[in-house]
Amino acid sequence: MFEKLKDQLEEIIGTEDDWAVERAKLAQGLIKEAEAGDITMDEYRELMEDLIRTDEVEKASSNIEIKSMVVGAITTGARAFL
Amino acid sequence: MKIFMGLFLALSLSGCAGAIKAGSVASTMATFVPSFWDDNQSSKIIDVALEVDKLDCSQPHAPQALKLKHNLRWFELYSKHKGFLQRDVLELVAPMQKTVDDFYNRSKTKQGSTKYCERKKQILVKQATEAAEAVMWRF
Repeated sequence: MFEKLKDQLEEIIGTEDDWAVERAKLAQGLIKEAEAGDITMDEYRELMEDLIRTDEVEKASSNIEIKSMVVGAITTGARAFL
Repeated sequence: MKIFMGLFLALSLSGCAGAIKAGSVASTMATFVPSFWDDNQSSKIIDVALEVDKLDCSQPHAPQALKLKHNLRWFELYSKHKGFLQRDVLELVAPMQKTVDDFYNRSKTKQGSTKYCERKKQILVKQATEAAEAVMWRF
């Protein structure tokens, strides 16, 4: 059932992209647990959705940090000349 | 000084252009200007991180999920009432709320498996860490 997805995840784990590798390993773990019956298919689907939501949190977090850095740089720069 | 003034002017102008296009100054300002440091938000996001850290999968899940749900709801209401500049932090906690809502809805009817809870905790730790860093590192 998960064969194609497992192959794709293996490919990603073989890359050097830390972010992608971490996600792929988490997804791989969920697949293994679903296959072993440790989690139900419904729980599996929900946790996979949670992984996507984690990316959304990370994106929003980076957005705030970048904007805050810009504001910080402008303020520090302005103060330096006052 | 010229560089910073130029950068500020560029940000301001792009904000104005967007405002005219979208027809909402407040909405466009929130796109370009971040929310700033807030003691209450910082405290509440650490409450959330602490509840996630304390999550014990061997105990009933529903009451623990409910506490998390309430803390996130508090954060949402406080931020909404504080004003339009808080849109960035609302976008930050919205996915966490969905993660916690699913956890609570499942747990209140029939508790999920221990493995499910352990994975949920692992994911929530990651989300809470990201959210706390963003909220606490603001200017």
